[in-house]
Amino acid sequence: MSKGSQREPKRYSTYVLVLSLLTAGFAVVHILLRGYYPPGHPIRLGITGLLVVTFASFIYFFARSISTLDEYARQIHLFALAIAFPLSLALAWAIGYFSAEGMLEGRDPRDLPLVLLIPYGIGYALSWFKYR
Amino acid sequence: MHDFDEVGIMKNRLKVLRAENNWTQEELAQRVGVSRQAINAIETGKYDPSLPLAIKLGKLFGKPVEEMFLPDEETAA
Repeated sequence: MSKGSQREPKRYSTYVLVLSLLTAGFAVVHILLRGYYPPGHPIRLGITGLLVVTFASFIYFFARSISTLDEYARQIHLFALAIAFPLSLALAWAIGYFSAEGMLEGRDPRDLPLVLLIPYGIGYALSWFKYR
Repeated sequence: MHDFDEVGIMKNRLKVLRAENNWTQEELAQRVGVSRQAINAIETGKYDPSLPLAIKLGKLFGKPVEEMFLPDEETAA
């Protein structure tokens, strides 16, 4: 294994970290701007565009980083997804039922993906402790 | 309920063979193209390598795979 190919996974994980922070940051800014600007305002459209671009870039680099992992690391990520997937289903199901009961009124459904990042975060944290 | 971490785990002589060659886990990892964590997990019995990786390790140490990896009698029972 060359030194160059060993550096690659680290570089991709840095991109993934930076892009995930940017995506979350733009999402938060978008939420905050909703109270100040009407839908279709150029500033809101600009932030929405940045959010989409950073999120798409995050997905691209995440996929690239997965492809550079060794077999053990892939097993750990599979473990994270195995935890995250049923947790996401349970969370989405619970949110749907509670909102039908009128308990989540005023919540914007566009923010659901942010909530669904939590199960993956839990799965990833558990797998990271296992991988250390 | 099955404990899937325990099913199929094998004993191995990787740590002994690595020590005989005076290699660190990092050096061995580089030679077979995996991470140091993967080598550590194999040595500590947390993970069984894939067949291609086991063969690569066997070639590197000049040993047949079955001589390096042995079924753990306790978990195999």
